[in-house]
Amino acid sequence: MTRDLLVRGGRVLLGDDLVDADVLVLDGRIAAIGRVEAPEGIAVEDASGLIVLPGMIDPHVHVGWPGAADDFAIGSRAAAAGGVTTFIEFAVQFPGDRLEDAVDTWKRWGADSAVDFALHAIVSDSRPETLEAMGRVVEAGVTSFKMFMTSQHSGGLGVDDGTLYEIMCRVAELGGLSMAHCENDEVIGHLAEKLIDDGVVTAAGHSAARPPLVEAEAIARAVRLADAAGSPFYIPHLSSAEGLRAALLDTGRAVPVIAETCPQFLALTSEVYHRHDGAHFVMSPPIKSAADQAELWAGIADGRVSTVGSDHCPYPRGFKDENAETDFRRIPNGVPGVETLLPVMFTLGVRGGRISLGDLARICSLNPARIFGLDDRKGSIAVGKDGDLVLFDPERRISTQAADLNSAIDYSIYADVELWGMPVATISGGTVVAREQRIVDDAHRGRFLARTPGVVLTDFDRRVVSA
Amino acid sequence: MSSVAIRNALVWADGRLFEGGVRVEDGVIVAIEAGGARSADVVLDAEGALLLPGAIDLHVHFRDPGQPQKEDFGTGSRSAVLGGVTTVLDMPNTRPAVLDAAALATKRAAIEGRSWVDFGLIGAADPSNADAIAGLAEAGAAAFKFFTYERRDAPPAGILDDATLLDLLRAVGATGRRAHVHAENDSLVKAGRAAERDGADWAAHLRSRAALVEEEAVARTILFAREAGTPLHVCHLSSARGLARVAEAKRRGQAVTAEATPQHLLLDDSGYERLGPDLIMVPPVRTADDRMALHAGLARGDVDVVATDHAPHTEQDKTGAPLAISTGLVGVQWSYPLLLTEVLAGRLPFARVIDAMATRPARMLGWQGRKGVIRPGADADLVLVDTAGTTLDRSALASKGRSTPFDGTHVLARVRDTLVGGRLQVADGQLVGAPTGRFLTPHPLHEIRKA
Repeated sequence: MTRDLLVRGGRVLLGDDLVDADVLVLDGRIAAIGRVEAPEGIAVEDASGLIVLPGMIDPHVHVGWPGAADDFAIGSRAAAAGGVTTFIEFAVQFPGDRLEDAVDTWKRWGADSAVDFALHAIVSDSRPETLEAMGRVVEAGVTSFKMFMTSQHSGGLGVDDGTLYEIMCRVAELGGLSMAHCENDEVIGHLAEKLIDDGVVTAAGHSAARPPLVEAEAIARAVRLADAAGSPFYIPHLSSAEGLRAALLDTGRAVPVIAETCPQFLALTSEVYHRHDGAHFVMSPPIKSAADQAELWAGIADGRVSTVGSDHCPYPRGFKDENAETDFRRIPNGVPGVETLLPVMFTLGVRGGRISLGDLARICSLNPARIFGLDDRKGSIAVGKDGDLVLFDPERRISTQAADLNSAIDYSIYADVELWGMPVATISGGTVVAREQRIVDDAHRGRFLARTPGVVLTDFDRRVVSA
Repeated sequence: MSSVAIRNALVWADGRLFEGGVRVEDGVIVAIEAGGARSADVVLDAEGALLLPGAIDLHVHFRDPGQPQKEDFGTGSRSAVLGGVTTVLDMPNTRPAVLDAAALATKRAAIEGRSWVDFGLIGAADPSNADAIAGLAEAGAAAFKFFTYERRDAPPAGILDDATLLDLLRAVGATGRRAHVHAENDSLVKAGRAAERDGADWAAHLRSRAALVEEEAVARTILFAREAGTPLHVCHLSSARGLARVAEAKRRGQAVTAEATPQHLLLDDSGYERLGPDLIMVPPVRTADDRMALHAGLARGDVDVVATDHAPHTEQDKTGAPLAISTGLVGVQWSYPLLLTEVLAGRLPFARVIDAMATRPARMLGWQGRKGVIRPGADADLVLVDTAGTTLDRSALASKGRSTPFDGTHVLARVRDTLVGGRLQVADGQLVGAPTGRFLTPHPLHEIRKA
């Protein structure tokens, strides 16, 4: 395993510009950019004809969720195959568990990761011992905390508003970042029950039980609570125009609010829930309408949406299909995505004329690095940062067939979608880990990235909507 | 082929500092690298100094041709390069005023071979020259200057008529250049000056131009620029109220940028009695609330750039009653040290100050990747800055002008060396190079969008 590498002759994305330059990585970190004399004996990676991108950062991945198909070993390899060199996974405190135990468990599992990773913590109560443990978790390098506002699909992780508020106050005290899965628990429950009673039992019911209102109401509430608590607030997997409007409403708040959306919301519409394999697309929040999709793209282009996270959480086909024809409430929630994040954003974003390549790198690498306190090591091609690079061919299609993807599932949600932009080589800390959708260095191991609190996030705040 | 290597520096690149250096060949940065001394024709040991992109000052009056008693391009550009400013845009109220392509060509010819820094020339828009705007752009005008109040001085004239203002904005919009506006309401200026005519104290200058004078003209110009579809740049923003109008327009998505001068960002009306003529410029330096609003606006980015409005006058011009003397202060030599002091004292983010001094002005002119950044492929416009404290002393100014409010100010940053296009122009605070600055033209904004 070598951590020295010269990437020669590529067009390197620096800021918004493609610059003809070599990139020298020594001991895993970028040591020079430009015209570089090769140190004797160094491995050389020919990038001529290719674009050199910073490794993508997926801020929203589940590779430790019970019952899901991908563990750290598999999920991280899917990430690497798709050009993602850093991901942030969620350590889950299930009801009754100790928060620190969850973080320790996930860190231990992370030893199998092929690429570097950081952790968010999902907090499911505000008992004194949990709030106290949050301090130690921050010291251990986990500075962002997610709460579920609904228990409808989350295995009982939902918390009430009082608990949410108490946890947010503690996050504020610790200088961390609050996140919440924003959906209105009771509205979903009532709508779902009525749909089932009316005989709507398939994936279409899942979609119908979660109209944009469900998300927007919870976002508005969570933003108010975060502001009262004084905690900067990050909205994962924002899916609807109404939700975005609620997130950005000018309530006179003082805390920054940051929005993330998902590639599947940008590539697909709620039509998928009417397909015969609609269950494979079930996730929460569900994929919304074409109009919602257009507004999310507009938000990405104008900066209202700051990041894209895949919410990667595929389940085995059998588990997905088991209740697909009988009760949508029992279909496990989650879709694959870490592996196709970059091609989706490139194909629909850059090739689609919606954003520039510089925007893509900002949204899928620099912004998550900055928001989650990783930009001293990650997020751009810069001297001193980690040698995480993607040699990228914009003129080649990737295979979206399940057999060519690296997740441990035998279906693909993009099987009939044309995706462009081949990660010809994915380099993690100076080591080529994957080539052309295949892992080539199975020995490479990622590191846990400890983060420090107190990140200034005002740059990402976009208060633009009047009441 | 000439090469320069700078090593052992704290290099600003990609929004952060790293320990290392750069290599330059034929005026262009060819590599940035951690550590690594290499052979080159010239090797500079930075000894731990900051290596920053050279500043770009969008607003200077080097008075050339026409008023050599105040300044000329040689003295003005020496002052710039000594202060780490490697590119300037010069204003068109020279003599003759830059009202058409021929005047621009004449000015360019007069200056060429005398500038120590790269330079662009701003054209004038005034009621007489709507037909000349396109020609000026073709001749390479970097932008167009609008005055919205009647000027007592030589041309260009102020644009007092609203229909004319809209026509001129449309004409500029068609060129893809930006309209740089000095926004003050003519009628309110006249009334204010009449009311304070006999004011004997220096603050009478401020009272003669209330914040509304600026706010109204900023608001109107923004509205008209939106109608015309023309990118607008508000010069020397002085008031919280003017800034609020700019910020609103930005939030709406309009292409509006703004600059502030060091004196508006760092000084307020408490200085009038102490500084007298050395604080007199238009628009005036205002209250502490205005200063703090502009400072916060700079931190946020609503004030996009720092520009100096470097406007030298003779001693005699600056002598007389508060409302009678010439308005204008020198500034190009000290803006970088003053703003870096804000960084080093923890009052402004490093990234924002470099963006405001160098990166964003370059982007505004379509020079992204070529100027205002340290990266391979960019012009080697570089500044080495010591962070040892020093006191600003007007006797060190290379400008012919002497009127500055910052004489005696303690700063935490000193420009040690300046390179312009890879050529060492300043070494250890002394001029060593030659006037090799090049004439630059902008990359039109609509072409950038298309690309």
